[in-house]
Amino acid sequence: MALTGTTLLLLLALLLLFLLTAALLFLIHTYNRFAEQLEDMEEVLNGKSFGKAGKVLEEARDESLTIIEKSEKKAEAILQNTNMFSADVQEEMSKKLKETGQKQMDEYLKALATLRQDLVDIFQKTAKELEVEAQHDVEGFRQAIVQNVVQSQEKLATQLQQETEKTSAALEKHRAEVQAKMDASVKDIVKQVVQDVVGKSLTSKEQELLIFKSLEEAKQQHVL
Amino acid sequence: MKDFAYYLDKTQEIGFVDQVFHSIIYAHGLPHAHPGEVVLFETGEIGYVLSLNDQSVEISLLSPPVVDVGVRIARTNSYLSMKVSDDYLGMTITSADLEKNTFALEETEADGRVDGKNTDLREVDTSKNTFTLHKKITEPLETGVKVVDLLVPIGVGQRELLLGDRKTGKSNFVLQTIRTQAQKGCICVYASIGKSQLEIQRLTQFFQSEQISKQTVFIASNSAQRTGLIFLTPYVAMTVAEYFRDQGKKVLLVLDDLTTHARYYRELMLLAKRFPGRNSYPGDIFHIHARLLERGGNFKNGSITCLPVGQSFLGDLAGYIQTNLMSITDGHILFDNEYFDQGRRPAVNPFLSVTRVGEQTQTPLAREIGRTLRTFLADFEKIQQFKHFQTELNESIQYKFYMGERLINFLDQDSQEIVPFPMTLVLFGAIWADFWKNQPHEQIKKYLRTLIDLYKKDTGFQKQVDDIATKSEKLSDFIENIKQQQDLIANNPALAAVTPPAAAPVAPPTPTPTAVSTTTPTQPIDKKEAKK
Amino acid sequence: MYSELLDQLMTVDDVEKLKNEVEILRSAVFKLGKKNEDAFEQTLKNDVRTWVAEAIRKILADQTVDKQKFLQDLSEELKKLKPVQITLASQPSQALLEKMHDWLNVQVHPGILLDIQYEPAILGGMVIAADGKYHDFSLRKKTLEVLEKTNI
Repeated sequence: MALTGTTLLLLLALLLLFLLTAALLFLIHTYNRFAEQLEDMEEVLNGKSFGKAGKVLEEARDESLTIIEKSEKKAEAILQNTNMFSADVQEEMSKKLKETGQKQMDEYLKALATLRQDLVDIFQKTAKELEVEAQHDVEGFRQAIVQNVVQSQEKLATQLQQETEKTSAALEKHRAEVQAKMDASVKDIVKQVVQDVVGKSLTSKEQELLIFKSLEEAKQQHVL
Repeated sequence: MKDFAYYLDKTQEIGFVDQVFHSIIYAHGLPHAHPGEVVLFETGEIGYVLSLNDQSVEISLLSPPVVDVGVRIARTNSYLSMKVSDDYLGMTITSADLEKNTFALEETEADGRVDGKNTDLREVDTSKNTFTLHKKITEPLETGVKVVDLLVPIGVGQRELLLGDRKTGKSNFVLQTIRTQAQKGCICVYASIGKSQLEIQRLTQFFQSEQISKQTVFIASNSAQRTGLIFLTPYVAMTVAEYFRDQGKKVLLVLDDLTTHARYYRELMLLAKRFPGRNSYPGDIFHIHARLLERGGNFKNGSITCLPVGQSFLGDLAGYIQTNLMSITDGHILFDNEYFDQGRRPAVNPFLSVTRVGEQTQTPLAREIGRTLRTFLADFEKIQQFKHFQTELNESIQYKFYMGERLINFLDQDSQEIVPFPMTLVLFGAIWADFWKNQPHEQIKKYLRTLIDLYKKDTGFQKQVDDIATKSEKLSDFIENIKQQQDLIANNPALAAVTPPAAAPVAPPTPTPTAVSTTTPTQPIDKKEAKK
Repeated sequence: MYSELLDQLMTVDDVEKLKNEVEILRSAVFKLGKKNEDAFEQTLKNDVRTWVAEAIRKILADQTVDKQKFLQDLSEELKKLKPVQITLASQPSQALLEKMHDWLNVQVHPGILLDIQYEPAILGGMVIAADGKYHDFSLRKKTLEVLEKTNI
C-alpha cells in the first residue's frame, strides 16, 4: 500500500512523540537515581558531618530541581507542537475523509437506485404471473363447483328415487299385511257362518248319510 | 306353539286321561308315544312322557292346573325343547316363562320377550357324545375369594361341588364368584331350583343392583310349581349355558341346589310308583345328576364351569346324594359348621376340600404358596391343643401361633369383597414376610382393604403388583422381592389415611422367622417329670 | 259261550249296564232268597233285563257250567272289550245306533263297541278314535279343506 503524505506526517509526529516520551522517561529515571544517591549521600553525610554536607546536598538538590523543571517545560512545549502538528494533520485527514465519504455515499445512492429499479421490475413481473395463476385457479375452482353441484344434484335425484322406491315397497308390504289380516278375518267369519249354517241345515237323513259315508271311508283306510 | 287340533291332525293319534296322581297322569292311547316326548292336553296343559307301560302312558304334568279324567291328549312328535337367544342375558326366567314361552315345540310366532331372530331351538335333556370335543383344563377360574383361590383353586371348565349345611355361606360364595367372573366378561347362568319366591326376588334384585345383569341369566323355579317343572330347571340352565358355550364364550353355571333337585325327583318317582332304593331315592338318581354335569367341561370352543351346590345335614358328608355328587364332580369345597361357628368367613375347610384339576392351572408360585400355606395351617391346627400353654412353649411354636393367627385373619373375607388374584398373592407375601409387625388384626384388615381398593383404582399400582406377582417362580424369591417392595406395600402413602395416630402394639413373640417345620409338634410337658 | 250276550252290546253304556248286572248276580250266587227261593233266580227275575236273563238262563241250562266261574269269566270278557270312540254331530237315535252296529258287524268284524260322543261343531260325519288312532271324517274338516283350497 503506498504511503500518502498525510500518513507520513502522522508517522513522523508519532515518532517524535515517542522520542519525547522516551526522553522524559529517561530524565525521570535519572532524577530518581540522582535522588537516591542524594539520599544515600545525605545519610552518609548525616552520619559523618551533617552541616556542610547537608548544605551541599541541598544546593545540589535545588539545582537538579531547576534542571528538571526546565526539561519539563521543554517537553511540554514539544508536546504542544506535536499537538499543533497533529491538529493540522487531523484537519487534512478529516477533509480527505469527507471527500471519500461523499464519494462512497454517491456510489451507495447509485446502487440503491439501481436496486430499487430492479425490485420494481421484479415485482411487476411477479404480479403479472400471480394474476395469471390466480385467474387459472379461479377458473378451476369455478369448474369444480359447477361439477360438484351437478353431481350432488344427480346424487340427490338418485337418493330421492331410492327413497321413493323404499317407501312404495313398505307401503305395498303394509297393504299386503292388512289385506292378509282382512282375508284371515273374512276366512274366520266364513268358517263360522258355514259352521252355524251348515250344521243347522242338515236333516237327519243327510246326517245319517254322512255318518255311513264316514264309516265307509274309515273301513277303506283300515281304521276300524 | 300350535294348538291341540293341529297336533291331533298331524299325528293322528289320541290319548285319554285315565288317572291323575298329583303331577303324574296315566293315559291310554297314543300308541307311538316315546319317552321324553312332549304331549299337549285338550285344555291347553303341557306334559312330557315319563315312561310307557303295556296299557298306559305315564305323563309328567308341567302346567299348574289340574287335569280332569277323560281329557284328550295329543302327541307332538318332538322332544322337550326350548328357544334360546342372546336376549336371555339380563332376564329372569321363571317357571311360568318356562312353561309358556320357552318350551317351544316349533318355530312359530315370536313372543314379546324373545326376539324372533337369532333364536336357537335346543333340546333340554340331551346326552350327546361330546367326548372328542373336550380340552384339557389349563386356565384358572378366579373367584375373588382368597381362601379358595389359594388353597382350593378352581379351573375353567371344572365341575366343583359346593357342599355344606344350610346357612354356612355357600350362596354368598357363589354370588361373589359370579360378580368376579361377570366383571371379567364371563356369562353367568344361575339356576335356582325349588326355592321360595322371596329368595328368587332377592336374587333378582342382587343381579340388577350389582349391574352384572347384562352378563347373567337367572333361571328360577318356585317351590309351588309342578314337580316335573322343578325337575327340569337344571337341564334348562345347562341348555342355556351350552348355547353360549357354542358361541365360544366362557360360561359359569351355578346349580343351587342339587340335593333339593334330588328330593323333588324322588317325589316324582314315588308318585310314579317306581321302586324306592336307598333313602327312598329311585335307582337312577346318580344318572340324572351325572348326565347333567357331564355336559359341562372345557371344550375346544368355549367352556362351561359348573358349580353345583349340595346341602349336607349336620356336617354329614357320607350322605347318599352328597357322595354321589362328590364322585361325579372334579372336587368339592366344604363349608364347615365349626369354622362358621368360630366366625370364619368364608367358612371353607381347606383340609377337607378337594380340587382334582385346579392345581394344574396354577402358576408354580401359586402352587408353592398353596402347599406351603396348607402345610402351615395344618400344623397350626395341630398345635391348637397347646394354646393354653402358649407362653411356656418354645419360640418356634410361639411364632407358629403368631403367624397362624395372622394368616387366619388374612384369609377371612367379607362377603361383599372381591380380591383380585395377583393382589391375593402379594398380600399373602406381605403377611408371610411379617409386614405390619406388632399391628392388631383389625388394623391389618384395614390396610389390606385399602391396598385392595388402591389396586382397583390405580392402574400404576396395579401394574406394579402384577409385576411382583408374575416375576418370581419360587416362594423364597417371591418373599425376597416383596421385602424389597416395602415402600410400595407396607409403607404405601395410601395407608396413611387408615393408620391411627398411635397404634397399640401387639406383644410380639421374640423369635425371628424360621423355616416352616413339617415335623409333628413336640410332646406336651409332663409336670411331674419336670418336678423330679 | 258269551257271544249271545256280547253280540247284543252296542255301546259302552250297554257294557256298563251289563257289568253292573253281572256284579249283582255274582253277589247273589251264595245268598239265600226270600221264602227259601233261589236268590240267584230272584235276582234274574227282578234286577236284570229280560234278554240278559234269558241268555244267562240258556247258558246255565247246561249243567256242566259253573255259575260263579261263568259270571267271573263274563266279567273278565267285558273288561277286555275295547270301545271305539265315535264323535257325531248330533245325538243318534236308537235305530241309527242299531244300523251302525249292524253295518260294523257285517262290514268290519263283530263285537265292535261304540263309545258315542256328541259334538255339534263337527257339523256332520264322524270323528273316530280307536286304539289310540285318531281320524277325522267330519264335515267340518272337509269344509275347511275346501275353504283353504279356494283361498278365502
